[in-house]
Amino acid sequence: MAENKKAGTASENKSTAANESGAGGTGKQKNEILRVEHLKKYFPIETDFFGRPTRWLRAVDDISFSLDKGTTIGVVGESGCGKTTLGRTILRLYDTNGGKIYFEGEDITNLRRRDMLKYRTDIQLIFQDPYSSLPPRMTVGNIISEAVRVHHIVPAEEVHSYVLDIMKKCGLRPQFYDRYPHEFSGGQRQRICIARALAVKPKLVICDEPVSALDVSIQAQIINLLKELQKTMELTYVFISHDLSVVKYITDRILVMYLGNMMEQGDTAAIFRNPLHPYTRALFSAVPVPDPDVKMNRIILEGDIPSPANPPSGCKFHTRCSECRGVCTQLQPEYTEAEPGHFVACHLCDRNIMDHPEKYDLSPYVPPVQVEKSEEDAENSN
Amino acid sequence: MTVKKNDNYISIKESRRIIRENIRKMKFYEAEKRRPKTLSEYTSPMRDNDNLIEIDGLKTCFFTDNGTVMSVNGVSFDIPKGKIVGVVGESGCGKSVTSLSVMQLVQAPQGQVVEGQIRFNSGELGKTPDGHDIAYDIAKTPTSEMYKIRGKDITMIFQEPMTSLNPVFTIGYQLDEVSFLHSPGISKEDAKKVSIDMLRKVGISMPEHTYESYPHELSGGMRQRVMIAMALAGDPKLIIADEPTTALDVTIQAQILELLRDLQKKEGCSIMLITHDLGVIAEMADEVVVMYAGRVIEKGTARDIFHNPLHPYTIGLQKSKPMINTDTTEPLYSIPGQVPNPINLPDTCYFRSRCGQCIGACSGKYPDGVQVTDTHWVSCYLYSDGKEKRANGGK
Amino acid sequence: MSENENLNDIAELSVSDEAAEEETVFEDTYKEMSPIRLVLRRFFRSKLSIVGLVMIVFLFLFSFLGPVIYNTWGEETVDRTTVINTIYTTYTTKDADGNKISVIEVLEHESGTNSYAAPGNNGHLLGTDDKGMDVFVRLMYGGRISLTIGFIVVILETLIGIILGGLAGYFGGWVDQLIMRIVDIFNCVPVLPILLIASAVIDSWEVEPDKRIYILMVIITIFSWSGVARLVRGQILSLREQEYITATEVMGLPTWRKIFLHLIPNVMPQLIVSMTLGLGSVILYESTLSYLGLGVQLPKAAWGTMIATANDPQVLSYHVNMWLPAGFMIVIAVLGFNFIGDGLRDAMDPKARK
Repeated sequence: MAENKKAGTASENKSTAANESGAGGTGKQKNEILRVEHLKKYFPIETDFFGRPTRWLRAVDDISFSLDKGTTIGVVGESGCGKTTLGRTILRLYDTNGGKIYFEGEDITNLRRRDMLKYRTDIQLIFQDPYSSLPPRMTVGNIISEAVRVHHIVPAEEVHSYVLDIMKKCGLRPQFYDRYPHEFSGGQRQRICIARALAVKPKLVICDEPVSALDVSIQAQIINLLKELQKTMELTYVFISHDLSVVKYITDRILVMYLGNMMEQGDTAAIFRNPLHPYTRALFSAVPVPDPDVKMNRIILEGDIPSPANPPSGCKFHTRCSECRGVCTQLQPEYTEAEPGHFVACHLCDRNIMDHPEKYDLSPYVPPVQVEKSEEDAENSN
Repeated sequence: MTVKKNDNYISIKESRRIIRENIRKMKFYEAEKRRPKTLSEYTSPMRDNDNLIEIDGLKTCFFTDNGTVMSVNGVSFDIPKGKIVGVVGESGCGKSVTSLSVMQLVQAPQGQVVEGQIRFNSGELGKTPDGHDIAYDIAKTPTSEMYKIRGKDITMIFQEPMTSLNPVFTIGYQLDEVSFLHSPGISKEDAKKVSIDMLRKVGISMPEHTYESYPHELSGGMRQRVMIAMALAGDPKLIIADEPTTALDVTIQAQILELLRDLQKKEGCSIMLITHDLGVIAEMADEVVVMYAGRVIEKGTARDIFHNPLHPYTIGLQKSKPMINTDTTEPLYSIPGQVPNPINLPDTCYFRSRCGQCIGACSGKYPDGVQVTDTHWVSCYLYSDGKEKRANGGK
Repeated sequence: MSENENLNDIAELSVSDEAAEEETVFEDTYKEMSPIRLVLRRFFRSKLSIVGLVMIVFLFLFSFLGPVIYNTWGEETVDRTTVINTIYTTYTTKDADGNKISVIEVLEHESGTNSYAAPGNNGHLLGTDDKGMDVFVRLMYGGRISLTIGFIVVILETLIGIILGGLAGYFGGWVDQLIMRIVDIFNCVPVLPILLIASAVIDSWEVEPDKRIYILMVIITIFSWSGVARLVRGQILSLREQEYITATEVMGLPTWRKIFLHLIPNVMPQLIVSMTLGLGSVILYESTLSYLGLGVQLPKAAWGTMIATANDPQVLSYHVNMWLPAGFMIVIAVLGFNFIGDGLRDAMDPKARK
């Protein structure tokens, strides 16, 4: 772990260094609830005869961030960028392939399943699809109370009233207690999911696209509910979403991901005011604005998202980047602090690169000729 | 836990009655469809020759075991030639069923168009003595006639590019098939040439390569481009795009929307764009139709709807979406409650129970529409007698 | 002034309303069917499943209630009425003048048992068999045995299938490999030859006919649990991908709770269908084994053994009443269970919601 300059949140750089030198993770910051350092999660996509993986899909590659109690971090990116995998790796639903996860200062990266049970109620997950995330053959009351009973969150005789109380907080009527999930609409199902997650008194909730499957008018209800519950129950959220307007509204910090890599991280306001990475800029400008007179200066990205199984060399974004330089195709950008608390992984923002044109190829990158060639072929064949 | 009688379930008696009724009605409408008709029975004059489609009092029902679902309950709007009309609403508001009705693709026998007219101005049927174009009434057109319109004059782009292409054939094969259909007798080489041209037209950089690929080798955005190419193949007058970008990422969505807009300008066709995303509508549509629970509640130009929304639902919808270009930490405005299920709805304003500004008149029957300005129409009691008090106040 | 003002005062008006309190009144304007009713409705919509149900109900009444009501003859009672069998033999010759001469020989033979009786004779509805036992009554007792064996075997194989398939599906890895290879072995063993050998072995043990039934059940179970195990494993593998199973992991629920309260109940619909279809095939199996002499033996009644009498060409052509009804019963039983199984499958399929 010598590459301290690569450490994600450099404001914690010092403490990170301290932790690493000291007894792993005892130097807990006062307000910090979750710290992720260089987290990696690879999935094997090809194995040899003996089942040993020969090729990996790097779903989460070197992600670092830290999260203070009561705040919300937004994880933003397009499909296949590894944001869902990141959430589930933090939950320890997957084993990691490197890096560390600290929860309340404790290293939970390599805890065995039995030891992890202690933390299970502390970290909860809210799913995207309210239809497949509720067991179809259980009543609402049983769904919410099951984990409460198993973990003895409240004394057995108080479970019923406790569950009704949680249901009320989440905007569910007490008469729903004996009903089955299929009788409810998407919005109410999502409320049930939230109630189930919150019934075990978690400290950290990972919201995996909690509103993307819902209608607009219901989205607002759920977002307001999440915000209100955060205040009353002192929750910390990791808010995974592709909807930038929602992320902007609900989060304090934002982490932009692309093909498993971090692209940019910083305070929400700072990122929206001054997005540094070309990908972030393109992402922001692609969001349609509900006003016919606002004609945004749109950056339309060329091409498709490359397959995460076969990512481009150098900067993973270089195939679609409009400001691509020669160096981008060769060298993976370092994660640097461009302004206080605002980190970006782009050569264009890296003084070490941009100030040394003699050392690095900074000429605009010429896109591959393959495309033109085949166009010609087509012409010829016609 | 005691098993108590749940009042939310239908009784057996009621269920029997519903089923008997359904069978009777389905038989009636199916027989009506099969009855041989003369040309005059399924044509009617257009109100305005500049319109491509005029939907008039369309009612589409689904006869389900839980009762008759009025998915589309008296919808009227026009699609002018060469314009993009956006239909916006939440899930279950009937926007997709409206488009399927226009294509005559409502799933029969459960789903039936029971009332109203969908006049489609194909421009091939001549004029009435007083100069109105004669148009097909798609609600009554026999299926054999409809085959000539569907896929050629009216085409459709679906939401799921993953499932709307056949996975066992190459893209080229499927595109060629469309050419064979529209211009019978075309040679194989010509069909290929046309297909590759179409692929190039929708911005696919290596059309030759894509022509040979199978759908699973393409990404979602590429597949949607192929779908658009297919839809454009027959030189359509109307393209129905049903949530064309919902399944795509934002950056890909931007590409597809730009492509659609460009193509629409180039080809001069009309687009009926169905979506729940107000941003997409604002970006694309010239005219907007807002639907709620099977009814049109407001329609007008994009400026009318976004700068001067009148119906409380339209206003709420716009306020409840956080905007990317504004800063706010206030709680979001949210419409309380949820979309009603369109079975046995009472004859009052459907939005009444969620509406924050009900007046006495709202408990009466469903409000008639009010033409607030030349282009702007709303169905709400707030504007019916006070003569646009709010609209004027806003101007 | 601007529309913003307009928007704002509307917001003030309605934000104050508690979203939760203001539940929609529309919710009560329509009613749904309860889940069980929905399944029943879809089940009874298909005419075939009604036919199947009628067949099976008839079979049950016939086998279990029949012998109680129609108790003139018991399962093993031999009709001891003395009967005189008369055999006419005609010899025809030609004499020198070319005249035809017929000599009729009449043989009267007194028998102690009323065997090979025609239907209707002496109150035997379907006649008697070679031992003089009533075919109709034996048909009813045969039904009892078939149905009992059917149900017990199906329950046994389902239990084994759930346990092994559940283990394989849930734990995966080498447990899965081991169990599924055992399943493969059972699937590729040639069943009939093994059964014939087993038949010979069991014969040499000289077990009582009653006990043979239990051995029969065990043998059928051994050869049929693998299908259920496969089904359960497949279902659990696909259920594990469902988010609500992920949710149980996130909740930190114990493993047994996940398997028995979350996974198995959701496999139940498929299991019920496979059990119903399995009943038919077990009955067929049992009949085959009885026919081959491995299963239920005389004097116990079974449909398979009754059909086995048709091995005698004399019986096959002249005493149709001895074997055809048994064959008919097997057809009714198997068809009935298959119809019900198909009906249930369509009714319980969540994708079938039109």
